[in-house]
Amino acid sequence: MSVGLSLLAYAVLVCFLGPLLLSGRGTTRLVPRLGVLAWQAAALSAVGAGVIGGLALAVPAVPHGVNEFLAACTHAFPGGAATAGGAAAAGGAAVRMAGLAVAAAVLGRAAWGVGTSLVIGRRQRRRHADALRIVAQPSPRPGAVVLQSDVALVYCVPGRGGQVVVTSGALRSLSESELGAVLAHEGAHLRGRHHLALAVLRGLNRAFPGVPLFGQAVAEVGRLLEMCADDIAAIRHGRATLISALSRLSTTSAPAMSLAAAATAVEERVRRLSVPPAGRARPRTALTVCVVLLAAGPLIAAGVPFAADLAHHLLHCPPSA
Amino acid sequence: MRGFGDLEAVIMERLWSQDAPLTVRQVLDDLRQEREIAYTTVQTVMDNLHRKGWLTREPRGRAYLYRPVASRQEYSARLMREALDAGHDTDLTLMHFLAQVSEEEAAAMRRALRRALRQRPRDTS
Repeated sequence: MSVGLSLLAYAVLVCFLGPLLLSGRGTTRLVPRLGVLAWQAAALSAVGAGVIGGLALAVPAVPHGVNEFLAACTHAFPGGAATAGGAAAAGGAAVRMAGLAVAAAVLGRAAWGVGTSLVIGRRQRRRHADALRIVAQPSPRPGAVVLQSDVALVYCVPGRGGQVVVTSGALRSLSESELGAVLAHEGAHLRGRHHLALAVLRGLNRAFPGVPLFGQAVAEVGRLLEMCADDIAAIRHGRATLISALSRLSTTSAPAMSLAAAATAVEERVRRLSVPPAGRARPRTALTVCVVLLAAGPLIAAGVPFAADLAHHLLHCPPSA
Repeated sequence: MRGFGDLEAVIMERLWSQDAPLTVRQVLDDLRQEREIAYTTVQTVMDNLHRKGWLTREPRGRAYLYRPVASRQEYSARLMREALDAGHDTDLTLMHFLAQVSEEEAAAMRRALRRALRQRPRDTS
């Protein structure tokens, strides 16, 4: 097997098996920041392997395995390669073209998807923020503005000069300390630039619709980022305060607006806030290993054909021969 | 035109608080009670607001009468709708503290909250 094919196989593997590995409920939720990192590593690893794999097929300078590499070294004279024959050369050209096409397609789609996501998102957020600047009214808390509405809602508009928006309905239903916890949660989103992580994954999902890895990454990372923000808010304001804020906002919530994923996420958020953090060392180690493996994945995949060929050589062509 | 952002809000505020449409001169006189400001500045900002679709205007003599296209409540409702929709799969990526949930989902959540609050004392003891 060639380096290129090995890398492409790795990319496909991560795209379809990665979600099974990472959406294991408990682990990522215990250390959400590492969970986010693991999903990001998986996504970038898959895209990177796809591009490099295609290029490896396309560029003839990359030896397609130890066999050819050794052959090139030992028969380092012109004509040695010519024995391969015309048919093989024609096949090689087709493979090279296909490799180039794969690399260009993956890179192009990814760049288009992520770029579109970032550009559209920024434009929409800016428009929303501009309108807020005129419509919303100042709040007693710095950094937050009030929107007149009976719907109890708190959200933030990320980007330059990010704003936290609290509706008058939410303001009425939250106590002073609960409001503090909620604002800390939103502040964590803004400072952590969580929207960028989401935008990149959303862009990849737009570029490669139907690929399980990207679709699930968007949903999962969305949930994990909420948990990251919860953790940060809980440090300052206490977990009990955050739980009661969640409960107040959920009981006064708007007429039916279904968002199943968010609802399950809220249940999970409450559950993990209600049990004190314990035993995070194991998931932390497991996820760190995941991240490292995913980051090194393309390199490992590229090495597999060499290792296989080397093993083959050692077994069948002893050096003494 | 970054610096005009605040002024846009102030001028819309004035127009929303009035029942009748106003000319640039009237808005200027109103604003001058609180701050030093040039006629052309107010004119530019109101012109921008008209161009961006916040104000409509109709000629009255040699000037224009300006009126908000929609009330503040209507704009608030519009922004809320946008914010709620952004909980779904859009590029707006606002980050909600708590996305809106359906009635049965809210009920399921309240059960989880009750459980959590019941467990709390035991956990801390």
